[in-house]
Amino acid sequence: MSEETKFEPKIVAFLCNWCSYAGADLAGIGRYQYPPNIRVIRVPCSSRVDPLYILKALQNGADGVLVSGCHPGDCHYIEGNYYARRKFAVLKKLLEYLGFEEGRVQFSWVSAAEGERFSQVVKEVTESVRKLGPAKKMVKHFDIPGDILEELTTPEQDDSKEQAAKQ
Amino acid sequence: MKMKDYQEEIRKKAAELLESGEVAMVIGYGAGSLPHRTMPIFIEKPDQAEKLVLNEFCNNNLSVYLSRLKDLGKLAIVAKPCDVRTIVGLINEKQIERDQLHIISFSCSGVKDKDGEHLSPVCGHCEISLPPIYDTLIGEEKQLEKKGEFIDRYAEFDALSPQERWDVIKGEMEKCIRCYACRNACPMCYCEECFVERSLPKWVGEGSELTDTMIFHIVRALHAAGRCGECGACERACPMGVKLGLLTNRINADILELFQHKAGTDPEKPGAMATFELEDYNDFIK
Amino acid sequence: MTGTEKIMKQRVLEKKKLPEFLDEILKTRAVIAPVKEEDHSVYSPLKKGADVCLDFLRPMKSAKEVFFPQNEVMFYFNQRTQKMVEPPPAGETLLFGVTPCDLAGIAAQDKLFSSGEFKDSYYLRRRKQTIIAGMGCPEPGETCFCHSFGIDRFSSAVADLFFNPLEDRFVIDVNTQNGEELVKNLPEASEKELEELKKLKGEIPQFSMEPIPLEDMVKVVGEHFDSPVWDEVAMRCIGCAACTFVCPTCHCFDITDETRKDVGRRMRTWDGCMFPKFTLHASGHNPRTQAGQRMRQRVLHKFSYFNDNQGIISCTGCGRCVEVCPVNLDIRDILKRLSEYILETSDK
Repeated sequence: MSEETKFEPKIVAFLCNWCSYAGADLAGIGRYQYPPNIRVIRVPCSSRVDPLYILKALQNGADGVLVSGCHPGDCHYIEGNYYARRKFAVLKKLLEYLGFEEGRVQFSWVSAAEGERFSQVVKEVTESVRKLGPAKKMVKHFDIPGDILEELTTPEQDDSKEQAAKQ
Repeated sequence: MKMKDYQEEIRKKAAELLESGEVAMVIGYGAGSLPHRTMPIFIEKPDQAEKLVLNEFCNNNLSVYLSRLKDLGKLAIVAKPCDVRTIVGLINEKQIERDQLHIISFSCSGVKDKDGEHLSPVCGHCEISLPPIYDTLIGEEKQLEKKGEFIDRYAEFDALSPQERWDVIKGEMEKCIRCYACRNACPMCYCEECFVERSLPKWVGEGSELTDTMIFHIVRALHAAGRCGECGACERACPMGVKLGLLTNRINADILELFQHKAGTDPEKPGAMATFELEDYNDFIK
Repeated sequence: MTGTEKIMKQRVLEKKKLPEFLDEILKTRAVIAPVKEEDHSVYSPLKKGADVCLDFLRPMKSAKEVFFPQNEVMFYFNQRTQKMVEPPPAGETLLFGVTPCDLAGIAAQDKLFSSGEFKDSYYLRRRKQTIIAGMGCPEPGETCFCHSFGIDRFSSAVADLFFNPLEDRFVIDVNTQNGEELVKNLPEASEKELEELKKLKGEIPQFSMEPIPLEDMVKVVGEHFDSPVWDEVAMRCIGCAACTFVCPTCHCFDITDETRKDVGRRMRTWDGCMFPKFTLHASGHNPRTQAGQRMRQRVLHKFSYFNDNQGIISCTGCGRCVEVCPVNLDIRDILKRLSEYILETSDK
């Protein structure tokens, strides 16, 4: 057995409710396996995703971000994903221009019927982010000195088990 | 005809407009209190028109005042061609009505930096010297070359590797003191509540921590995408010399390439981010 | 200890030996000094003595951020267990090359943060650990009007040490024992050098303007609260905080908590009264929505209220606000306009 601990990236996935989220659900129903690295945030439409949320996810420690919506022409709100497409093109080009690694932020169109495809997309995204390694550039650190952090989080302070026992 | 010659014409026109009562106020440039500076002034009487100046230090984009003054009535505004692009943007976004404006513009050969020597960075890269729309054009309707030396930093920046570019950007962001002069000087930043002012949820931390500052600048540039008239007001307003043009000009170049759109050239045409084509660039999406 | 009496001998340091001098001090304490940043300088921690840059009139930002940083962690906490832990102290520091206007700014902030019943422990903690070395200012800049406040450009009671620049050397006033510790190995100033310094101090400075006669104005300006002159002078203000953040005396701040799960930190960060939302109440009411109202507040606070409360005008005439304002708002012109207005209305 390999003793190496593989780097497990944390990926935030913004999925549009009508297509991609349903596609993810179908992947579950169909028992299509995919890596558990994504954390899903359901949005009504891919165009709801402001570049702010993507950057915020990176700031809070996400190693990668996936935004997925309906195929062009199939948007539940008719045109949302067309606007999203333009927005994301500009965002992606800007981030790469500023020196972000290509592949930290990825996009896909996955329909409600594409359960297997969703699992495929997630596999691809996870592997490509894993290769990039942990994200460092945009992460906000509180820079709490080690001894202070320890003092604040020592288990003796944790009385939740005691509380649970009392109940 | 030089910028200095326009000054007399502008004074005449302003006095005329105020005398006839066609406009309630003329927003223009006045003499600054420092060398190589001018300041925005607001004229309401014809005899005050003598205070108006026009020279190569007319840096500010005066259209930032339009939304707060529009209730006074019809306004005349002295605007460089790039400033007119932001006025077009404001008209397009229904922040002001075309017939409530009298735009006084001119053929522009660039404005100078505070050092008095170099062309403003944005001017150096600008090839346009005529405004897209106007009511009064001072001088000839002729394309002028931008006069003066400027420091071309985009070519230099583009040639760097991604990590090097990141280091440069990081260095710039570390200079930022989050005074929001850039945002407040931008005519397109007219939101009643900016995303940095929201406290529930708190999108951007207060103070000048690096990643918060980066988020502010990147997201502000993206919120202005397709609307930014490339007037350079943001960069000129910055007290610390942060090279904001690296962000805004890049976005504008990308939008021109991807969507063949330049902001502020047509008041009827929606901004690049407010429209779409069925066959837009799609290759980057799985 | 005010230390205006010269109880310790003045010393001399050759300008070319300055990097060496600072390197020596870096062995035992941090040094913050003006450092070059493209076309200006800023007070910054030195990695080595040679990084110090005295080429510019004054650093772009004032020295206040050494004691009143833009981002200060007040304490770290665990919000579930309610435990709070203060951050470690900043450590012994030498703040070098502080201009006379910035020293006057420190004097004003000293009054504010340590006078009265409540003392600001965050400010004082940093203040107590820092030795301050001022730098003389022979040539005022275009926007300087420190002569309106009687600021001495060649000495300061606030500084532990004061370096006056001659042609190729500094003559150093030693005001405190702490300062003496750092310069005790330097040669004492000779009669000749002291003569040169006297000559330097006697030269007529080339200010770009006469001092602003503030005394009378400061007494009555508060009576003109409702005057339309405030809107007149502030019409072009865009409501940023460029003036506030570069000012040596401005001190408004905000406090926010930042958390990640249970653990977090309470931050004190700079705020500015020129922001339109500065006075926004939780109810939604905002007493200062207009630029004129905010300008009135700024001027009255700096030139009237602070003077009433602390005995010092909260301005040092450094001129930074004039330089950085994107729309060329000029406090000197505003004060002049106010004086004119007061005269006009008092005649009636």
